[in-house]
Amino acid sequence: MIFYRTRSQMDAEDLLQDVMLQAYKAIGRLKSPEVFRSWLYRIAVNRVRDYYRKKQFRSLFGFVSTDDENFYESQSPELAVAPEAEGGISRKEFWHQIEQMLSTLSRMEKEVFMLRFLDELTINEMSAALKKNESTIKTHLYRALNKVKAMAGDLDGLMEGI
Amino acid sequence: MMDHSPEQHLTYDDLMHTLVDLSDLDAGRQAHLKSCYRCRREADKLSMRYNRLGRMARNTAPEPSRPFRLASGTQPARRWQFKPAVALGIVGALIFVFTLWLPRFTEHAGTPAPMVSRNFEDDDRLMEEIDALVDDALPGVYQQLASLSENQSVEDLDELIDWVVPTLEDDDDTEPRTSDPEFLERPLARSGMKINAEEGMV
Repeated sequence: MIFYRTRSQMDAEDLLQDVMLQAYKAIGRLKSPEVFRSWLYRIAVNRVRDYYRKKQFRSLFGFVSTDDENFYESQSPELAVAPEAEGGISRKEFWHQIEQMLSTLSRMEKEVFMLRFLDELTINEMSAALKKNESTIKTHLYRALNKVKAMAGDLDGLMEGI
Repeated sequence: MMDHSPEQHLTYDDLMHTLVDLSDLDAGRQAHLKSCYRCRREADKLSMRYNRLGRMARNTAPEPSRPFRLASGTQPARRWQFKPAVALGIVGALIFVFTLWLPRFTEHAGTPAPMVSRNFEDDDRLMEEIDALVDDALPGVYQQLASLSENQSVEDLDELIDWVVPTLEDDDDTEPRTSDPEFLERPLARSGMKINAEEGMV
């Protein structure tokens, strides 16, 4: 889940450590075990947001360049190996297309789309993870689906038939 | 929500409802979906395509290269861990505020008993002074000048009056006094009378 958002294995692993540590420390505050999954996702989503905020701040001072087209791939040697993903497209190509598709969405649309289709959370779980009511989540999801459909023709293989 | 006839197949928007939340679809459309094989197949196909995204993402994401490890000594935070510190802080702040502000509150809030008795004493003293002034408006120094004490008589005042208001004779020291024999002889001599001091006036 974190890798989907950072596209960097090293950063994803660091963030995972943070998320797990934070969850371990705060586990006593969890009200019921039923909401554990959405609670864990909430921590992860917040940590990823912090990660991007820090990265954006650093980029202001020129420490990190996020404009580089190969930013994600260059940090993830596993993707450079590029074994084939489902449907005959390479792993690298898959994430490139996902990136291209998500770039048309707003931050919230991107988040609900990823939580729904990549992380496979239910609407109820998404509502708890993002602290938004269900109708708001659905509205953003419908908007995201419409945008994805509009650009489905540009995404070879990935969204074929949509 | 649009009203569709049961024969009409689901649109793409309807199919999106099946993907997000089937309950968003109106009852007529839901009934059509149940009965129409073609629409059901379209809905399943769309759902499968999006589900495939998740599956591909899972398959292409690298496995973590290192397991999650907790640093030694890490403890889960207890719910009430910070409560005593917070409570102590609040109590300390309250004590500080009361110490600092309580005297000011009491000054304005009401007059304490010792202050009331002091005020009464001041009032009594003032009334006594007023009564004294009503009885004798002159200050004590002037009263001694103007009034007689019990063992003084009016004659005693003559000396005082002479001192305060001197007679004309006293003013001119060059003039002879009435008891001076020289003074007595001259006018009498002028008038032809002779005075024998031993025999008296003739």
